[in-house]
Amino acid sequence: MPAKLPDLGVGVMWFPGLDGLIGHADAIDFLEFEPAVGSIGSGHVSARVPTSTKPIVVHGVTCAVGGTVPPSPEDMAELARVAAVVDSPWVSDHLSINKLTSTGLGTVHTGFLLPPAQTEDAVAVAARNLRLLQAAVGRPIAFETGVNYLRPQRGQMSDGDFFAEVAEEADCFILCDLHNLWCNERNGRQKVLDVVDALPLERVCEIHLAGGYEKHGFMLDAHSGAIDSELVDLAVEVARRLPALRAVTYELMPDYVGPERIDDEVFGEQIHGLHRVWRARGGSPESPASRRTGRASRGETTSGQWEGALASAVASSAPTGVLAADPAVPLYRELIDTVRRGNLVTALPLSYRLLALTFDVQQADELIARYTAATPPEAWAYDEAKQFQEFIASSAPECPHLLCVINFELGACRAVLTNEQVRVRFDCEPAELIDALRRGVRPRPRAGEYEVVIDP
Amino acid sequence: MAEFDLRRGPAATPVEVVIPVSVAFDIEALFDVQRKVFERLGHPSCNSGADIRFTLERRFIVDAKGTLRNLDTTY
Repeated sequence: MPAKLPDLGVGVMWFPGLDGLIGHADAIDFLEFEPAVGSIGSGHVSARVPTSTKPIVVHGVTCAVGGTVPPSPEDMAELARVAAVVDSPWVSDHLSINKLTSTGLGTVHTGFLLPPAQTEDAVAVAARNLRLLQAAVGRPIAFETGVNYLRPQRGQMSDGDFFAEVAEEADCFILCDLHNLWCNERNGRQKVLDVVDALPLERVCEIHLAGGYEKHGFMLDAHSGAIDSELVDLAVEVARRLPALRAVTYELMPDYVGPERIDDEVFGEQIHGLHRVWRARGGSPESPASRRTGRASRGETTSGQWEGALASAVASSAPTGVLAADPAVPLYRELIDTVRRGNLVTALPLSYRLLALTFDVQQADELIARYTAATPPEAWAYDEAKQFQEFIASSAPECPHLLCVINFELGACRAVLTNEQVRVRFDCEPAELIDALRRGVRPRPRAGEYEVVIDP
Repeated sequence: MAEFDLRRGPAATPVEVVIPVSVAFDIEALFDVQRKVFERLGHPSCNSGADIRFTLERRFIVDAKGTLRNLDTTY
């Protein structure tokens, strides 16, 4: 068994801007921090780390442990560094796939967390990755039970058995994301309580709760708002069975914070619900092995074969393989596309506005669709934007000043990443161009040769 | 709220834009844009649902009927 962990209590996933929302600091016992959210690009030192007299626990997204491509030494080192800075009592990441090996392209990012096969081979792959992460971080490790929009696969383990085998093989903790499991149940996979019954309960150190919504008939783990009261009640029931529960965490995307979304009052209600869950913790687990649904079906699909099928299903223009007909495939393709578009407008908001204001909006969207179809996803907004710049430079759409604006926005990012001065040439008066885009007005700047110097 | 004050690292420093004095240029406007960008940049967090950042940005440009807006608000 892994080491005993300290009690943390009720926490919330930190993000820039959370400070303004929290009117309930006394009711929050700790913060959970995703280092990648505060970074601009791979290898970049985290820009912001929440500082608090309360504990901070690190939750990664770059070191997913479910795939045959292991977490990179650089990403693991960054996770370890941040964990040391905040003295995180444990570190978690996802039992998911975030990178694939693609013929001709080498290692590519998936653009979205994808589910691993639930086979004996996949258990060994995940356990190997978890041991690597454990060695790199030097702190107790937990994996998050992931959302899986695919149908259950014939001949593979149940969700609960898979999580249990990975935890025992890797000798690690489990971050039981109950919203993920609840989405899985509502989307036709194993029931939450059956999953929990199969887990080695003494290894469950943390619960995640969140809100979501339905799209195309699927319940999405969107972190989009209030936690459903039915899920809170279910979490209370689960917590009663957990003898080693140390933390209950609320996950919320910053995009959903504000008036008519999650305001201070609604946020406080969520924290109150989390305390109900926390107070319910305890109890003696029954023998985990006695509650399993059976492990006779261990699956013959190798992780490599599974990832090939995944890649074909979510990225190929003509999907083939065992997953091609799964009803969730169009959803995954759409979700990946929305992340990529989100990354683009995050790094290049003014460039997108120029495209939309110059072209018909539909044409602008079609241009981005051609880009996403022609290129693989990048993990970081900066890298996605850089790839888009190359696409625009080669495809040369008739959009005056577009490359100037892209270069300006990328240049500002690069100045921060490299801590070096960046010069960007403009073929027009820069202030007139940028100011019009800020206001959402089609720019008509005076022509001229200008150079903007960006200091980090 | 002191409990949740931020520790600012190098990337949180506002980007300076240096230009020739002779050019009538709204430096503050550029600062505002880049401040907003750096607030939002980063790896998307671990949610497994639909990313709404593009939708939000698109709403800034077009109205509900899909026609272009002519906005006069700051970014």
